[in-house]
Amino acid sequence: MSRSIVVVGTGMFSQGFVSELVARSDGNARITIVDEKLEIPLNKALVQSFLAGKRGVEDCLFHSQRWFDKHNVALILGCSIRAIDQEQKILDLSNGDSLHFDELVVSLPRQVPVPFVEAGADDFVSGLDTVSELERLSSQLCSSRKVAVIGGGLAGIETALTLSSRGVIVELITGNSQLVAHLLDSTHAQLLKLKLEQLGISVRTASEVRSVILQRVANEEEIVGVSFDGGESTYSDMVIVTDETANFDAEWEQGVELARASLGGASIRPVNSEVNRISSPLLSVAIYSKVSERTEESEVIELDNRAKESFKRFEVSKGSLVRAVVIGDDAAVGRLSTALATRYPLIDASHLLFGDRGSNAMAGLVASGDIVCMCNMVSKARILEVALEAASVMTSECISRVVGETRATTGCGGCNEMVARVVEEVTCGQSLSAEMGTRQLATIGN
Amino acid sequence: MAVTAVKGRIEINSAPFGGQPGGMCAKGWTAGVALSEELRLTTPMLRVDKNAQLFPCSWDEAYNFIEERIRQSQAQFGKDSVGIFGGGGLTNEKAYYLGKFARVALSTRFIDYNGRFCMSSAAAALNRSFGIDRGLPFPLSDIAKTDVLMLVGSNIAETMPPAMRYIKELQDNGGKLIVVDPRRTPTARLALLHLPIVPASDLALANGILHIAIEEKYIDEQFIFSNVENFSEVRETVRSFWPKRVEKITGISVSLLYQVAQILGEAKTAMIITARGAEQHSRGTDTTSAFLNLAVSLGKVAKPYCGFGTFTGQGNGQGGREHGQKADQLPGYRSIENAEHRSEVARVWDVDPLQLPGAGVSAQEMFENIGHRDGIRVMMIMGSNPVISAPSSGFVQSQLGLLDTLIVVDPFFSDTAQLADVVLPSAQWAEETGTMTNSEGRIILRRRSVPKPPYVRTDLEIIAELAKRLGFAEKFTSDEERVFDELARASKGGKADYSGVSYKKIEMNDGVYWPCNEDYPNGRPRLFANKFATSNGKALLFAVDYKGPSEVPTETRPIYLITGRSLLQYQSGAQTRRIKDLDPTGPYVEMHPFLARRFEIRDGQSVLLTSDRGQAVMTAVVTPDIRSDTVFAPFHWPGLGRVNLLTGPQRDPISKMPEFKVCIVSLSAPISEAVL
Repeated sequence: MSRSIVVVGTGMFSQGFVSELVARSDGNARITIVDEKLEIPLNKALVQSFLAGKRGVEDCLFHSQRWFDKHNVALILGCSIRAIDQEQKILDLSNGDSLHFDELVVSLPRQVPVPFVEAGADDFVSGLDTVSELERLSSQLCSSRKVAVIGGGLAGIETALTLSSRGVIVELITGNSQLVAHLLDSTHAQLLKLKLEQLGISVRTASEVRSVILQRVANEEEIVGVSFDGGESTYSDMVIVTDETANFDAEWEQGVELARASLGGASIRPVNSEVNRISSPLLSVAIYSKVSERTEESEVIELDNRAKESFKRFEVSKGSLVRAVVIGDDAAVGRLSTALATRYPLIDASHLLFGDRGSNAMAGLVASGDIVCMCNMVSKARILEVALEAASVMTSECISRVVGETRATTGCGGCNEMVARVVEEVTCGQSLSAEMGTRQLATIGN
Repeated sequence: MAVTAVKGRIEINSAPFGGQPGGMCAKGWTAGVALSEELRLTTPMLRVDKNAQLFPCSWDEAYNFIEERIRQSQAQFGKDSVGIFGGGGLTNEKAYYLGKFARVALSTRFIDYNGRFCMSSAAAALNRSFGIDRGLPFPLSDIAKTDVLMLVGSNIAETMPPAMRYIKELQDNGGKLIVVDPRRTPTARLALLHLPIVPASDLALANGILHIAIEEKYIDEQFIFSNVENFSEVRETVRSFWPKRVEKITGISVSLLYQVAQILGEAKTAMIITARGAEQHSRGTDTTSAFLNLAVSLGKVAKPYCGFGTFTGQGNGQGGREHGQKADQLPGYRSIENAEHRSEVARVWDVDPLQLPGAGVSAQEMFENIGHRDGIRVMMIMGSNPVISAPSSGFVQSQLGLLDTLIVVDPFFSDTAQLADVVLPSAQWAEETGTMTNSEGRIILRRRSVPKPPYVRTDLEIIAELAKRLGFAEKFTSDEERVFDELARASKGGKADYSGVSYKKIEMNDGVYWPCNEDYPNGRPRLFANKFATSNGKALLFAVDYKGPSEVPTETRPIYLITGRSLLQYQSGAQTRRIKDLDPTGPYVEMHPFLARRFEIRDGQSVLLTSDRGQAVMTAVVTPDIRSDTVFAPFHWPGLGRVNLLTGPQRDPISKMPEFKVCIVSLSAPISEAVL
């Protein structure tokens, strides 16, 4: 007999939950979604594509009505919960109906604080949460040269980047003293701010919005003014309000995890790792923070590569990664995101820095099992192993370690150059050298 | 390949074929060694009771024993108490005859073969979308002329080395190669883009690339409108595969995903070819479909130098699945459950269609069925070594032990033969004639080049003799050409129609592409010129969602294990392991230096791998050419080095393909004496 599962709320979490349940339960669950909202839920992960002009509003929905019908998912909108009877397993709905459930999942959305908007300015202020908001936006955006984005979280930054890449002048505004305040410490937030400013986005921190008003300028054109607590104000053609602390991808994944758990699968992965991503053609950022496990003793590896304009910082405690910030280095961002997604219990920071292998410069020349030093039978794999163990970015330091441990190059010497090049796969392959950037390897604590 | 026998010595040379220069890998150059007497079985053997040893016996004694056991079992427990297990390396003639033998002489529904472990997922996906299953709907040589080739889970540099010349040609022509593989294989090293994907996440990758292709308008709306069904559902499903999510699942960064979509989308011609890496999963059919959907949506099928296909894994992987060796199938790729198909084939066999048994069960289910009431009690295995190649092989081995009688027909004293009650030595490739059908759907003929030794029989001789003893002498012959002509007649009107093919035609044309019949007297190298083989001529897409593998890493089993083949060995190794020159190494497991360091394992050290099914011991090969959360082990070796002791029994719901390509394990080293 199929179970009746009731999901309250239509946010990313609920949708992740429902989608996973449908994919895995092979039609054995009857799912009902209840929300007091009136509109079919929007997949907030697709909103950036909409803002970039790559996707229509309809195409940002989670699923079509047909999908809900096909998978036996009932949608009750515009309806709130009046009471929950845990014993009888009955929900009392505001429309007078009652609903039986075997399992109940409640995920109420956060309230995004909306600034005071003066009458008349409403048409120029929008969130990114519903279909009607997006529809309004799409008509306004075409004629906007300048947009103020309120909210310095991941969503705000992505929105700023997307609009900026469309040629819109963007001002990013947050009431917090820094960007992504709930995840980044001030130093890294400052780095991120600089990066955004380099891309032409003006960033205004510590600016609590007091009100949004409509102004008319010289030739009858209407603009909106955003005024701040300190009395300052700024002007733009429109204002977009974003959720400062939201991480839509993570919310989805948490819903997925809960669905797996509720199906009683043997392999349920804990929801303790969370990567926060900013992904835009202009800039890639990943922030990982395992807040609860911040310990006093940890090792920090930080690489600031100015030539590549990238920044990486990893904090490892007791052999596992606790915090990480990657700005700009696309491949490393991907590695961090996926290493944590696969729930690999022990994270090797050097892997995250350099990837599974070093640069590809030598890749085709020597196979890993090949013997590089014939006199002492040392394979390329062995050299790489020792070089990695040396955990140094100085080629000469690594080479002497390799020579000491493996005796490579100590016979005829014919492999000198080859050994150096293999070691470079680990070191120089990362485009890291004294001239190109700064390097810090430090242990904090005690 | 050219084989000559000079004063009892076999000489092997490469030979041009089909207008292409010849080429062979080390397995080919050394194949002659396997023909030598000291490596092979030279006499039938019999085990009189379960506690006895195998002793040499005469052919007559062996046949008598088999006949008696079959008759006894069928009289007491019914027709279905006897089962047949075949192989994808058998010639078309043998595959066809095994099917006929099971349905006509034995009247059992239980027949299946190791092709289930090989290509069944691809076959299922091709059938349901294109209405036909031919590995490549175009000649292999076409890949040299496409603009972009995307290989998913295929390491042809090591598993099909001669095909590499087309990849080389492709790159010389300025074509781009994209390789998806958790390992940086020799094939991946040649690629412009290598996507070192998280094992078993391929489906999400394909959906993610299609998501981007739709956003970036790379899809071919015109082609979809006129040639494709059900695209809107696919579109809706891939909507949930936004790049950041796919990055987390697959380990491929967002920017790389965009690059792949762009390269495929902007190319004038492109091909996507999957292989076991994408297919051997509990969602193998859906994964194959996801890549098929991508190729079709980009409009990169049914056009010159475009296409979606799959490489075969066994010598006759294609032909082996066309002519009735499969549980639910009759010759010509017909269905045993379709009344019309049954009567068409029954007419050729001159039997009552009502007497043909119904569909049996898939390979692994046959093993599971042993020991149950109404289960299989007598099994004949021909051309397969499931003790090595089947998943959860420890379980398979103990199941085979429950049989009343195990009959093994093999040229070698394989690991499975060692468990048998009766072993029949069969002739080898160079000693008999037969046809095989390759990935391209091209039927090729292998003529006998050396006489077979007196102590062996060909598989066809064995089948014909057993049929005769069971009272069906007039319906079976051991003459290869006559069997082929009957196969051609039996396949007439089926999807894989061989009715216009003869040995003579094959020899004159260096192979014939099926279908070859009255409509296409010279065969069809390129299928789908203007329409697909579905009822309305359109490609029918299936929207597929990502479910992940049956097992994901945990604290206690933190590592993915993937299995596969190495350059110098072939399949269960029954043949290649006996050729000492070929590869003296034993079972090994590849791992990244980071992983090795974490588990304090050194290159060359013994490692104990443990899964929920069992344990295996292998030598560590430390290499940076693999993801650091994954280990790779080939499946060629016996005993404790059998990687299939670890793999799980989970199966694809459609193709019944077991999940070879991923399970989770823990590693430890050095191993304690107690384990050994």
